[in-house]
Amino acid sequence: MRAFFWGLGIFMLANAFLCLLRAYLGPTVADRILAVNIVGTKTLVVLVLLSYIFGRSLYLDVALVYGLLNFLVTIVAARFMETGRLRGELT
Amino acid sequence: MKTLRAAVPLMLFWLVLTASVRIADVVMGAILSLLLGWWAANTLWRDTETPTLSVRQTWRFCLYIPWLIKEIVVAAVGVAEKVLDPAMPVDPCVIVHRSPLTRSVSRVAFANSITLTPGTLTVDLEDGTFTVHCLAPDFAAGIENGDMERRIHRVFEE
Amino acid sequence: MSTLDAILNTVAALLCIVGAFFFFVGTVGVLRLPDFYSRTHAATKCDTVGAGSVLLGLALLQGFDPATLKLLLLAVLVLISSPTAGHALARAVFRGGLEPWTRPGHRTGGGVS
Repeated sequence: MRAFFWGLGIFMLANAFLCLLRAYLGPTVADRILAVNIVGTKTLVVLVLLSYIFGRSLYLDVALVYGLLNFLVTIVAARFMETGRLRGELT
Repeated sequence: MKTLRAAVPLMLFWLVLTASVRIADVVMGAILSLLLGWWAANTLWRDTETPTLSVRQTWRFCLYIPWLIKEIVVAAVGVAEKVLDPAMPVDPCVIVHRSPLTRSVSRVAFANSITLTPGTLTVDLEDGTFTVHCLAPDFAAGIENGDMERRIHRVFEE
Repeated sequence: MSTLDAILNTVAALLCIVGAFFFFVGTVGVLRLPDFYSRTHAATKCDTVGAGSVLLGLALLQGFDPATLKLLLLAVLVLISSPTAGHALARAVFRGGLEPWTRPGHRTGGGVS
């Protein structure tokens, strides 16, 4: 079962690198942010897999914080793209 | 009141994270979540009213989730078919959908549900007017027939 | 007891494989689709299903444990945050004035109002 999860994790990392290709190519800024967001989600899953493989639930906390930060980064970047500033009212 | 409503979920979150019921941990969590809840109620949500759900609405929301998950899986399979097809038969279009939903909770739920279901993505949302990007025209029918809207209406606005 | 374990393991492995498949579809979609909006489709949907499926499989494997609660919490987090992030990005780009790509030759559906 462990070998299976190692394989799954490596597969996930390969996918993440392919997504980084989109971040490199991406014609617009939004494409790059989206690609980084996807890489973040994949990293989250890899962290969870590692927590199972090593049997340490500490990695789950790391994954949780990673997921929250990933969400926050995307929202902030989107907002900055939309309004050009970070403080004050939206619209 | 607002403080409490923010503090209780924080406390639950703390319990899940620490996964211990030792007195010191629980007391620490209670103090921290009360402080954070107080801060959130006075700084973050000072001028906004928090959405309220009755017990019945919460129950119906719980019933809505499984249906939504089923729809999401169907959606993902649909998108997978389109993406893996060598010819890639996508034909994106943008539709504008006006919705009678009035509460902001239900609008948010509807927008999120649209984004999660077959080949549709909420692009803009203003006063009940949803701008939706569809991966193919046949996906647009799922929104126009109003099935999901009726379900959301039943959950939040009855 | 061991047959139950075997069934549980098989179901969990199947869920993980399904999740990996959807992740792969998401990657292919992000690389192949023609414009930003269509890529957001692939990204939000396939990643949500993929992550949810893998996390559910692992939660089954863990059994009853505090870690299971954390896994479910993570699944809920992905389920809520992924479409919201996609929508926020799409809105920013839409208000910035990026025209959606349409198949050359015919324009279906209503235009942008």
